Amino acid sequence: MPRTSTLEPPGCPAQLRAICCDALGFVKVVEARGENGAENGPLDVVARWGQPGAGISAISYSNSSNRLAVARKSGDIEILESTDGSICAQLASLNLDAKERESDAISGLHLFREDGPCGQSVLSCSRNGDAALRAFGDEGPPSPVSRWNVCKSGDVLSMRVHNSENVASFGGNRVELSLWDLESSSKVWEAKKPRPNNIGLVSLPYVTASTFLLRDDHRKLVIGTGDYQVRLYDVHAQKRPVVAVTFKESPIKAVAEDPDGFTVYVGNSTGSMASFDMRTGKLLSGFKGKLAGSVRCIARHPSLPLIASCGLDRFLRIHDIRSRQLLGRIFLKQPLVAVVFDDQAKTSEEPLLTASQEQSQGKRKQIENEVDYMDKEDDEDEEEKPRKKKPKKHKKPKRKQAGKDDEATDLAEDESPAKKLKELKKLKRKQNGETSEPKKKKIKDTTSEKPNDKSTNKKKRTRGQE
Amino acid sequence: MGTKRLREDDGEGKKPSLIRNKERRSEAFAQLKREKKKAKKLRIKARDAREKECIELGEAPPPRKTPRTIENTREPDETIVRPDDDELLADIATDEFAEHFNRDKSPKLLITTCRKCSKRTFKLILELQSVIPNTEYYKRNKRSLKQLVKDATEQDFTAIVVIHENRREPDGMVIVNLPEGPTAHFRLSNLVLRKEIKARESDSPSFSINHGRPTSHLPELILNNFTTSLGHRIGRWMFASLFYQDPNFRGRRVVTFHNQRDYIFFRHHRYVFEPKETKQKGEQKKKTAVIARLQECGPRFTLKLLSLQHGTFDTKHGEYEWVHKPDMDTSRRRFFL
Repeated sequence: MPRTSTLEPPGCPAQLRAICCDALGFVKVVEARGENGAENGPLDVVARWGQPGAGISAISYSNSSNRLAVARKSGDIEILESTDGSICAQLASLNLDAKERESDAISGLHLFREDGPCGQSVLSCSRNGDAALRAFGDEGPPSPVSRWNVCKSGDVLSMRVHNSENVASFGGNRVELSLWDLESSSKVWEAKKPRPNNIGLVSLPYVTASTFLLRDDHRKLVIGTGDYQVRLYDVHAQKRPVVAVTFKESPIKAVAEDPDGFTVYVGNSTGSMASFDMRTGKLLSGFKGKLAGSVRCIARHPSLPLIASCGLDRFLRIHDIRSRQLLGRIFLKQPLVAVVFDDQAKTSEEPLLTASQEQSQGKRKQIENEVDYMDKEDDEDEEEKPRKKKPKKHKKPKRKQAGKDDEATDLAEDESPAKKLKELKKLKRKQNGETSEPKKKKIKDTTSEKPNDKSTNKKKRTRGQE
Repeated sequence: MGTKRLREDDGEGKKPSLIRNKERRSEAFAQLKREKKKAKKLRIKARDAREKECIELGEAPPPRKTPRTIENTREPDETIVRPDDDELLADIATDEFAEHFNRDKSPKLLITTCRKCSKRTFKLILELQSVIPNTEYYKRNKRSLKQLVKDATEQDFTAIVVIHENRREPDGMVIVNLPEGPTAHFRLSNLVLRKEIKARESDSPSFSINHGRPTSHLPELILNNFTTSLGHRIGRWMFASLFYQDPNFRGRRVVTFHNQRDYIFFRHHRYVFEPKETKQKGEQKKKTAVIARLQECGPRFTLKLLSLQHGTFDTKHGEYEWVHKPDMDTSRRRFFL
């Protein structure tokens, strides 16, 4: 008997707020509405700003200052307040000729933080490579324009500014990926074409989407190409891609990084979405659930484990990252260009921490959020994580048995973030009342003690001293 | 053991499916069918009698039951277009087809085939040329479709239709809307050419010629059942943009694109309004009623949408608005057009 009823998607957490822009010129705010104070609820359009006709080509959202910068097809940039959609500033198009404006749409936009190095300003890049850093002030005369040309030929399709706001990456069709320093407007690094393949063909550069992988380190970039590849570049390592993976058979249209520093979410133009581990290049998971058209933009929620995707099939979808389940979707009637999350909790955007500290902080936040958000997922993660970190755990029980030398070593190792992590996990497990971890320790102990008790003790002591 | 429990003693009779002997089984089944048919006739008679009584008494007759169909039980779709949608109107006003519907641009169609086509495809093209006004046929030779798109835009064509073939039978259709329009890829099936169309027995003997010959009048266009936003885009815009906006009603020529369960049926008819005299039983006077009679002309085929691409034909680097995926077929009551 064929299934006659559909399974409704479970619903998104009630604090969800996403801003979506479409090709007709509307900016729509979508929220999850829980019924009767329920935690999860269906998505609903809360507000719609803008006029039809002035199609949007790129957007940029600044969470800290609650502002959304929107670039229209005419080349004008509007800066809107994300609370009510009122225009707080407008920047006219740099192209004066009407014909030029039509063909030279803005393909990359970035709204800088107010308290950052650049202040209230906007970096825009048009298809022809015309990059301009402009300040918009509340008062005063029109600000000076810092303007340079990124490429001589080709179309710039993707531009990203790093979290530190010192460096920006540009890439496009026949435009090789390059890093530019924003203060001096000079090229800092440029990628090299990958080696010719077995037939001898060299693929022309076709960067369709790009992102910086780490918040505090501008050296790692992940791009999606028009030749179906997801590539990881390391600026300090080499000019050729470090990792290159082919994903299905259509150009990759959207790439979004996860705060954990190695996962990347990728969407292509036939509506396939997947996540990759960029350390190894492995495909971690695919996302199913009513994806019919090209995925134009993927956004990862800064605190909750959710991703939003939107595209040409006119739907905005929210997926859960862990379970890969479709939590909610809403029909937004127009072909969509971009989506951003408006994080209500306002997690801080401070950069400039060391990589390890940042990672541990990020993981800590993840852990905390996991505990708060979904209790079910916790169990899965508990089982997964111990398996991954087996080698490290060998040290722990042995050190405990040694005893005397522990204090010195503990102090030395306590400072490291990895240890902090484990302690946090312990605390959490104690809270949850789980006993899986200690059991495993016991198993390891017996196996290590079998051959020779005395010798193993000695070994442990020496290791402790180290 | 007890496996051969005959249930004839129950009075109701054995189920035909339990009889293992084929001959007896088929007889039993045929009898069952006859009985069901009789029972149905009796039920309908009783229902009609009841309704008559109710009407005579002045009461409202009990409502008739509607049969459950797949279309009735279709999965609710939030993309179904509503006529009062202002966003949709704004979208229509600014999209690729606005010029056509504003009558700024008249359609000019280029028909071509895949590289080596057979006789049947060629015949289909000849017939399509008589159906769709203002079409030109160009041989494909060895040109790539991308090149063809470029050349056609230079020569002011508004659309290209490519008929694909498999095993000497046309089986695919690609409609590329020019300058930058969307590209739709359809699967073509159930093709019946004009000469193969046979007259139905219900038609009057005046239409002894099996198929009609179409005139050069501009046809009327009927687009049925394109409800969702995707369906709207395909139906009203892809198909309607191939035809002229002002039909000649005098020519009595109709082209129909009927969508049912995601299959689009293409039909081409001529119609005639005829006064017909009917004699009702028990009444001596003859009643004249005007009846529309159809005569089918032109080809008949079925289309199924496989993908809708955002720009012109580009399979390598193109962006798709809608692609059929096997994920979508999980429910028999879910349709996309």
